[in-house]
Amino acid sequence: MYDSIKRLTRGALLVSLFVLTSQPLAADTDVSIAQTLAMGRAEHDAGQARTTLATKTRERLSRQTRLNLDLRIESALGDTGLGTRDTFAPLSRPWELGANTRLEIDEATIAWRKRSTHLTLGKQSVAWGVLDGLQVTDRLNPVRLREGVFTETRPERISRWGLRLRTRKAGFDWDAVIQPDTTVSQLPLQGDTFEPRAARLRGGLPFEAGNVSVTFDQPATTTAGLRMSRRNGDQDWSLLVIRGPEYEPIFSLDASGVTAHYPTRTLLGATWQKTLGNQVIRAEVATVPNQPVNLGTELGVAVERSRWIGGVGMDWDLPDGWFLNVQLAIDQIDGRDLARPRRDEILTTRVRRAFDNDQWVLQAELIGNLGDGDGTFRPSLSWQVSDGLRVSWGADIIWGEPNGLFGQFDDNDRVWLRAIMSL
Amino acid sequence: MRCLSSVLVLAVLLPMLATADELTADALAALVIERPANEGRVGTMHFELINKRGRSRNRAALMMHSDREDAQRIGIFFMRPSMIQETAFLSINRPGDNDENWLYLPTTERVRRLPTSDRGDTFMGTDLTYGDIQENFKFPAEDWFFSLDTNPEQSPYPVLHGVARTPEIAKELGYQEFRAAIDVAHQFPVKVEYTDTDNAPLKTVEVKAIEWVGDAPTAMAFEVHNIQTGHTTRVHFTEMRHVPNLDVEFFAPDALAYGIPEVD
Repeated sequence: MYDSIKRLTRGALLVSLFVLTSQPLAADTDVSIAQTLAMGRAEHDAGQARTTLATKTRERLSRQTRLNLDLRIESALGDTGLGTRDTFAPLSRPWELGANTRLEIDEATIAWRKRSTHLTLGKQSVAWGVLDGLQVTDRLNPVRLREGVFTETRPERISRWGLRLRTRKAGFDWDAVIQPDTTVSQLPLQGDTFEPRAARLRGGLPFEAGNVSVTFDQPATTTAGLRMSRRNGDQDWSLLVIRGPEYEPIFSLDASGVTAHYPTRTLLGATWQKTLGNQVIRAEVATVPNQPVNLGTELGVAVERSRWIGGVGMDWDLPDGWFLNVQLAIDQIDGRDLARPRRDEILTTRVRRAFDNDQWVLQAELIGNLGDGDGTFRPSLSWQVSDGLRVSWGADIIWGEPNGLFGQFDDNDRVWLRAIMSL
Repeated sequence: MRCLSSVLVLAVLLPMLATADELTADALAALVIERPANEGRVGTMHFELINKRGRSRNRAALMMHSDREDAQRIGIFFMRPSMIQETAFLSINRPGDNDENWLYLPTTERVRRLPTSDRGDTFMGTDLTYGDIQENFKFPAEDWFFSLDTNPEQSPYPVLHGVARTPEIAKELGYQEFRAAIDVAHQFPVKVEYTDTDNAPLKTVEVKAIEWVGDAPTAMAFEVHNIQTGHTTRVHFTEMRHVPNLDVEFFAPDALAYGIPEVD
């Protein structure tokens, strides 16, 4: 108890210091505080208490040049904590301000723009693809998986240091990205509530094997991506290629423990979307000819296989202000000897309705893996109390078998409360 | 030049107002439709959202409007409050072609194509609809049958009465009928009363201030009151200016993600 109070006091002091020092940086600095509390079943602690203090600074250096700096301090109690640090490249790694408090740069960019040309240098994230929360071609930046998929927004991309150039030439929009930063996806810490339990996500190693130390083998490869797209009235399409370290790890096993590796892979993809009156249809497809994947037949052994991912989704504007989004994605890897199933079929359904001039928003999402029969239901209600305060309530209800993508967290049903305040 | 064209439109249309009712109504509607528009204008749009209990919320956004032969483009980039800062909406309306609506939400980091047909959806928690934003106080002839209101309640202005051409259009717009008092000199409706798809009174729009921006009359302040919910949205503009040759690159969907643009 005393330790908790001490940590919170230290967090409060840091927050105060952070706010005070960020203000003189620029005229346009916004500060927000988000507090999340979650409560799980008594026998399996999915409890959470996380405070996030974020600043967004926008400074215009000239008519064409702009500086963006987004910082966050996070402090967490409980086992759904702050996630791994070793998965970050040294330059991107969050600073530890205490045992449970970190400072991280979400964005630090200098951007230059002239007509259709936009150049961005610095720590940034890139969102490609057209589906919501299903990552088919949206695989340039790594993501936070410290709470699996049970986050407010999905995916939570992690920014990396790099250079991005967007321009229009020969009737096409071009988007070129190079990120020497080798940060990969952030994972839960060992023993955390959302630590992967399914063998498919542990290189075939069963959870029952107990705690094993995992070493993260930082990749050395730069990530590069190029997207060409074209918009034509009510539809648009894109072709893209991404080469860089796979950010879903494969695992090797030796006497010293388990090592997570991130071999280089190449992804070729395409997207298309079209408006059809009160509907929008979206589709994505990607192939990875050299997808690294663990064998299920031999622990700690990995191979390269062909991988295909495809997805289609549709938005409907329904009567009385209801919005419906349905998506289906299929992820297939050649071979039946793998630690993961040969095919995953993920269906997502989301309904949303705003009330009282958007002061109340009711939302529910159903995500299921059709192959395994597991899934999650995530209802939530948000109340915009004032311009500077929003309070949300929700639940994550999870079911399925222990080795399923979602079923592995069957014991982690939880209700949560989140308050976000702008200062 | 725009002033001259405006005078010419008035010169042609005003005599028609005195002829048969049907023609006069169509002429009055045409007068509003033909209102000169700026090739480009930019200003800060302030919203005050007041609920029936009198509590208010405020928004401020950079509004860019471009009216060219190929398309009408509207970009709205929210600046305040910080919770919706950098949220941006873009509408591109090409004559004879499908409209495009795009929304950028900073939390998703992605510019999202929106369905276009439900113009009756409310815009960002205001009492305006996406259709209201796109149509800019005009009543497209393809949506409405027009007549003149023969019994205006002591209105100093002629009152244009519109009925949705089909139930489908009424559903899409969210309006069955409207009655609009038209300021002929400015070619602008100054008060509009809408009914919902069941023809029950829905909302009123009152234009409080009209100013010339460049050569175009522009609503600088207006108020929308929803009779059914008791909610009111007050809108006024500051720093509104005519920007000739406003760069269409500001209206590229991808540009919504670049942040709030700096316009000379």
